[in-house]
Amino acid sequence: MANEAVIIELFNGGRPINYTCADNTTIEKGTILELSGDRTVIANTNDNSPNVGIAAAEKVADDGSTTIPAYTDGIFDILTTSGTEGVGIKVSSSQTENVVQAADAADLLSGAVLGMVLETAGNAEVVAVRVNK
Amino acid sequence: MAAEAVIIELFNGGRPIRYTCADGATIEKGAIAVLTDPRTVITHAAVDTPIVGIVAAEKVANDGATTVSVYTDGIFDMTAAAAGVTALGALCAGSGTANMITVADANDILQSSDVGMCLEAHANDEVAAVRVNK
Repeated sequence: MANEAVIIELFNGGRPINYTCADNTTIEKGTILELSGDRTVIANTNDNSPNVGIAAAEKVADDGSTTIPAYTDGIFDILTTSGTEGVGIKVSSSQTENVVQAADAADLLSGAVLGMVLETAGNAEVVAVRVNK
Repeated sequence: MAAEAVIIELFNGGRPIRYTCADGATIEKGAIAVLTDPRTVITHAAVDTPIVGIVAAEKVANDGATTVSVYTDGIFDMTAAAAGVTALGALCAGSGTANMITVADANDILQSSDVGMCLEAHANDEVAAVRVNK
Protein backbone atom coordinates (compact mmCIF):
# COMPACT_ATOMS: atom_id res chain seq x y z
CA MET A 1 0.00 0.00 0.00
CA ALA A 2 1.15 3.51 -0.74
CA ASN A 3 -0.06 7.01 -1.46
CA GLU A 4 -2.47 7.17 1.46
CA ALA A 5 -4.43 10.40 1.80
CA VAL A 6 -3.02 12.86 4.33
CA ILE A 7 -5.19 15.11 6.49
CA ILE A 8 -4.95 18.85 5.83
CA GLU A 9 -8.05 19.84 7.79
CA LEU A 10 -10.91 17.96 9.42
CA PHE A 11 -14.33 19.50 9.96
CA ASN A 12 -16.58 18.16 12.74
CA GLY A 13 -13.67 15.93 13.71
CA GLY A 14 -13.74 14.52 10.20
CA ARG A 15 -17.32 13.30 10.84
CA PRO A 16 -16.17 9.67 11.12
CA ILE A 17 -18.67 6.97 10.17
CA ASN A 18 -18.15 3.36 11.19
CA TYR A 19 -18.25 0.61 8.57
CA THR A 20 -17.86 -3.13 8.78
CA CYS A 21 -14.68 -4.73 7.40
CA ALA A 22 -13.30 -8.25 7.27
CA ASP A 23 -11.15 -9.28 10.23
CA ASN A 24 -8.46 -10.69 7.96
CA THR A 25 -8.02 -7.55 5.88
CA THR A 26 -5.30 -4.92 6.17
CA ILE A 27 -6.40 -1.32 5.68
CA GLU A 28 -3.93 1.47 6.28
CA LYS A 29 -4.97 4.80 7.75
CA GLY A 30 -5.54 7.24 4.90
CA THR A 31 -6.78 4.60 2.46
CA ILE A 32 -9.72 5.46 0.21
CA LEU A 33 -12.51 3.13 1.33
CA GLU A 34 -14.71 1.38 -1.19
CA LEU A 35 -18.17 0.13 -0.30
CA SER A 36 -18.24 -3.59 -1.06
CA GLY A 37 -21.37 -4.96 0.59
CA ASP A 38 -23.86 -4.28 3.36
CA ARG A 39 -22.25 -1.23 4.93
CA THR A 40 -18.91 -3.02 4.48
CA VAL A 41 -15.70 -1.51 3.15
CA ILE A 42 -12.45 -2.62 1.52
CA ALA A 43 -9.43 -0.69 0.33
CA ASN A 44 -10.38 0.87 -3.01
CA THR A 45 -8.94 -0.88 -6.07
CA ASN A 46 -11.83 -0.74 -8.53
CA ASP A 47 -12.84 1.94 -11.01
CA ASN A 48 -16.46 3.17 -10.90
CA SER A 49 -16.98 1.76 -7.42
CA PRO A 50 -18.73 3.62 -4.60
CA ASN A 51 -16.43 5.11 -2.02
CA VAL A 52 -17.39 6.36 1.42
CA GLY A 53 -14.39 8.34 2.62
CA ILE A 54 -10.89 8.01 4.02
CA ALA A 55 -9.85 5.35 6.57
CA ALA A 56 -9.45 7.08 9.92
CA ALA A 57 -7.51 4.31 11.64
CA GLU A 58 -5.11 1.48 10.91
CA LYS A 59 -6.66 -1.98 10.50
CA VAL A 60 -4.20 -4.83 10.95
CA ALA A 61 -5.13 -8.23 9.51
CA ASP A 62 -6.52 -10.68 12.06
CA ASP A 63 -6.47 -8.17 14.93
CA GLY A 64 -10.04 -9.15 15.83
CA SER A 65 -11.55 -5.87 14.71
CA THR A 66 -14.44 -5.96 12.23
CA THR A 67 -15.20 -2.24 11.98
CA ILE A 68 -13.27 0.76 10.77
CA PRO A 69 -14.19 4.47 10.82
CA ALA A 70 -14.13 6.54 7.64
CA TYR A 71 -13.49 10.28 7.63
CA THR A 72 -16.22 11.92 5.58
CA ASP A 73 -15.68 15.66 6.10
CA GLY A 74 -12.35 17.36 5.51
CA ILE A 75 -9.61 18.42 3.16
CA PHE A 76 -6.96 15.85 2.27
CA ASP A 77 -3.78 15.69 0.20
CA ILE A 78 -4.44 12.96 -2.39
CA LEU A 79 -2.48 11.71 -5.40
CA THR A 80 -4.03 12.24 -8.85
CA THR A 81 -3.56 10.13 -11.96
CA SER A 82 -1.66 11.30 -15.01
CA GLY A 83 -3.55 14.05 -16.77
CA THR A 84 -4.24 17.56 -15.66
CA GLU A 85 -7.34 18.37 -13.63
CA GLY A 86 -8.54 21.94 -13.38
CA VAL A 87 -9.31 23.62 -10.10
CA GLY A 88 -12.78 22.76 -8.83
CA ILE A 89 -13.14 19.58 -10.87
CA LYS A 90 -14.81 16.62 -9.17
CA VAL A 91 -12.54 13.59 -8.76
CA SER A 92 -13.41 9.95 -8.27
CA SER A 93 -11.55 6.93 -7.01
CA SER A 94 -9.74 4.90 -9.67
CA GLN A 95 -8.55 1.31 -10.11
CA THR A 96 -5.23 2.31 -8.59
CA GLU A 97 -5.27 2.28 -4.84
CA ASN A 98 -5.46 5.74 -3.26
CA VAL A 99 -5.22 7.55 -6.60
CA VAL A 100 -8.03 9.78 -7.86
CA GLN A 101 -9.00 10.80 -11.38
CA ALA A 102 -11.36 13.27 -13.04
CA ALA A 103 -14.94 12.11 -12.49
CA ASP A 104 -17.59 11.61 -15.15
CA ALA A 105 -21.38 11.49 -14.97
CA ALA A 106 -21.40 7.74 -14.27
CA ASP A 107 -19.25 8.34 -11.20
CA LEU A 108 -21.85 10.75 -9.86
CA LEU A 109 -24.57 8.14 -10.13
CA SER A 110 -22.48 5.28 -8.75
CA GLY A 111 -21.18 7.13 -5.70
CA ALA A 112 -17.61 7.04 -6.97
CA VAL A 113 -17.01 10.78 -6.63
CA LEU A 114 -14.69 11.45 -3.70
CA GLY A 115 -14.51 15.24 -3.76
CA MET A 116 -13.42 18.45 -5.45
CA VAL A 117 -9.81 19.48 -6.16
CA LEU A 118 -8.95 22.81 -4.56
CA GLU A 119 -5.87 23.38 -6.74
CA THR A 120 -4.93 22.53 -10.28
CA ALA A 121 -3.45 19.03 -10.50
CA GLY A 122 -0.60 18.25 -12.86
CA ASN A 123 0.43 14.74 -13.88
CA ALA A 124 0.48 12.42 -10.88
CA GLU A 125 0.54 15.31 -8.45
CA VAL A 126 -0.60 15.38 -4.84
CA VAL A 127 -3.23 18.09 -4.37
CA ALA A 128 -5.77 19.24 -1.79
CA VAL A 129 -9.18 17.60 -2.22
CA ARG A 130 -12.34 18.67 -0.40
CA VAL A 131 -14.08 15.47 0.76
CA ASN A 132 -17.70 15.73 1.91
CA LYS A 133 -19.31 12.29 1.68
CA MET B 1 -22.34 44.20 -5.51
CA ALA B 2 -25.87 43.04 -4.87
CA ALA B 3 -28.00 39.96 -4.38
CA GLU B 4 -25.81 38.54 -1.61
CA ALA B 5 -27.08 35.35 0.02
CA VAL B 6 -28.74 35.77 3.41
CA ILE B 7 -28.50 33.21 6.19
CA ILE B 8 -31.69 31.37 7.09
CA GLU B 9 -30.05 28.59 9.10
CA LEU B 10 -26.49 27.45 9.72
CA PHE B 11 -25.59 23.89 10.64
CA ASN B 12 -22.38 23.17 12.56
CA GLY B 13 -21.94 26.92 12.74
CA GLY B 14 -22.08 26.98 8.97
CA ARG B 15 -18.97 24.74 8.89
CA PRO B 16 -16.76 27.65 7.79
CA ILE B 17 -13.72 26.77 5.69
CA ARG B 18 -10.91 29.27 5.25
CA TYR B 19 -9.64 30.13 1.79
CA THR B 20 -6.95 32.46 0.49
CA CYS B 21 -8.03 35.71 -1.18
CA ALA B 22 -6.21 38.66 -2.69
CA ASP B 23 -5.56 41.56 -0.32
CA GLY B 24 -6.76 43.93 -3.04
CA ALA B 25 -10.10 42.21 -3.45
CA THR B 26 -13.40 43.44 -2.08
CA ILE B 27 -15.60 40.49 -1.10
CA GLU B 28 -18.93 41.14 0.55
CA LYS B 29 -20.42 38.92 3.21
CA GLY B 30 -22.99 36.69 1.54
CA ALA B 31 -21.25 36.65 -1.83
CA ILE B 32 -21.05 33.33 -3.61
CA ALA B 33 -17.39 32.24 -3.35
CA VAL B 34 -15.76 30.94 -6.53
CA LEU B 35 -12.63 28.80 -6.36
CA THR B 36 -9.44 29.74 -8.23
CA ASP B 37 -6.02 28.14 -8.12
CA PRO B 38 -4.70 27.32 -5.51
CA ARG B 39 -7.35 27.13 -2.78
CA THR B 40 -8.17 30.79 -3.40
CA VAL B 41 -11.57 32.44 -3.72
CA ILE B 42 -13.01 35.38 -5.62
CA THR B 43 -16.53 36.71 -5.87
CA HIS B 44 -18.87 34.91 -8.24
CA ALA B 45 -19.42 36.70 -11.54
CA ALA B 46 -19.69 34.09 -14.29
CA VAL B 47 -21.40 30.86 -15.21
CA ASP B 48 -19.60 27.48 -15.04
CA THR B 49 -17.15 28.40 -12.29
CA PRO B 50 -16.45 26.14 -9.29
CA ILE B 51 -18.29 27.27 -6.16
CA VAL B 52 -17.20 26.48 -2.60
CA GLY B 53 -19.86 28.22 -0.52
CA ILE B 54 -21.05 31.57 0.83
CA VAL B 55 -18.63 34.20 2.13
CA ALA B 56 -18.94 34.45 5.92
CA ALA B 57 -17.29 37.82 6.56
CA GLU B 58 -16.76 41.16 4.88
CA LYS B 59 -13.41 41.58 3.10
CA VAL B 60 -12.47 45.20 2.44
CA ALA B 61 -9.92 45.88 -0.30
CA ASN B 62 -6.38 46.44 0.98
CA ASP B 63 -7.30 45.74 4.62
CA GLY B 64 -4.31 43.41 4.91
CA ALA B 65 -6.37 40.21 5.11
CA THR B 66 -5.44 37.46 2.69
CA THR B 67 -7.91 34.84 3.88
CA VAL B 68 -11.68 34.73 4.11
CA SER B 69 -14.05 32.18 5.62
CA VAL B 70 -16.74 30.50 3.56
CA TYR B 71 -19.91 28.95 4.95
CA THR B 72 -20.39 25.46 3.56
CA ASP B 73 -23.33 24.07 5.53
CA GLY B 74 -26.65 25.85 5.85
CA ILE B 75 -29.80 27.20 4.25
CA PHE B 76 -29.60 30.57 2.54
CA ASP B 77 -31.97 32.94 0.79
CA MET B 78 -30.57 33.28 -2.72
CA THR B 79 -31.74 35.11 -5.83
CA ALA B 80 -32.64 33.40 -9.10
CA ALA B 81 -31.33 35.07 -12.23
CA ALA B 82 -33.65 36.31 -14.94
CA ALA B 83 -34.75 33.15 -16.75
CA GLY B 84 -33.37 31.30 -13.77
CA VAL B 85 -36.52 29.48 -12.75
CA THR B 86 -35.90 26.32 -10.76
CA ALA B 87 -38.33 23.72 -9.53
CA LEU B 88 -38.71 22.59 -5.95
CA GLY B 89 -35.85 20.26 -5.05
CA ALA B 90 -33.86 20.99 -8.18
CA LEU B 91 -30.13 21.51 -7.99
CA CYS B 92 -29.11 25.08 -8.76
CA ALA B 93 -25.80 26.48 -9.96
CA GLY B 94 -24.11 29.85 -10.30
CA SER B 95 -25.52 31.92 -13.15
CA GLY B 96 -23.86 34.52 -15.39
CA THR B 97 -24.95 37.27 -13.00
CA ALA B 98 -23.06 37.92 -9.77
CA ASN B 99 -24.53 36.11 -6.76
CA MET B 100 -27.52 34.86 -8.73
CA ILE B 101 -28.33 31.23 -9.40
CA THR B 102 -30.01 29.19 -12.08
CA VAL B 103 -30.94 25.57 -12.70
CA ALA B 104 -27.95 23.19 -12.77
CA ASP B 105 -27.00 20.53 -15.32
CA ALA B 106 -24.69 17.51 -15.09
CA ASN B 107 -21.63 19.51 -16.11
CA ASP B 108 -22.25 21.94 -13.28
CA ILE B 109 -21.96 19.05 -10.85
CA LEU B 110 -18.76 17.69 -12.41
CA GLN B 111 -17.09 21.10 -12.35
CA SER B 112 -18.54 21.96 -8.91
CA SER B 113 -20.59 24.90 -10.18
CA ASP B 114 -23.61 23.62 -8.28
CA VAL B 115 -24.64 25.63 -5.22
CA GLY B 116 -27.29 23.47 -3.62
CA MET B 117 -30.88 22.28 -3.67
CA CYS B 118 -33.84 24.65 -3.95
CA LEU B 119 -36.20 24.25 -1.02
CA GLU B 120 -38.89 26.30 -2.75
CA ALA B 121 -39.75 26.83 -6.39
CA HIS B 122 -37.92 29.85 -7.80
CA ALA B 123 -39.45 32.34 -10.23
CA ASN B 124 -37.32 34.78 -12.21
CA ASP B 125 -35.50 37.24 -9.94
CA GLU B 126 -37.15 35.71 -6.89
CA VAL B 127 -35.39 35.04 -3.61
CA ALA B 128 -35.86 31.52 -2.24
CA ALA B 129 -34.29 29.14 0.26
CA VAL B 130 -31.39 26.99 -0.94
CA ARG B 131 -29.75 24.14 0.98
CA VAL B 132 -25.98 24.55 0.66
CA ASN B 133 -23.69 21.64 1.61
CA LYS B 134 -20.30 22.08 -0.09
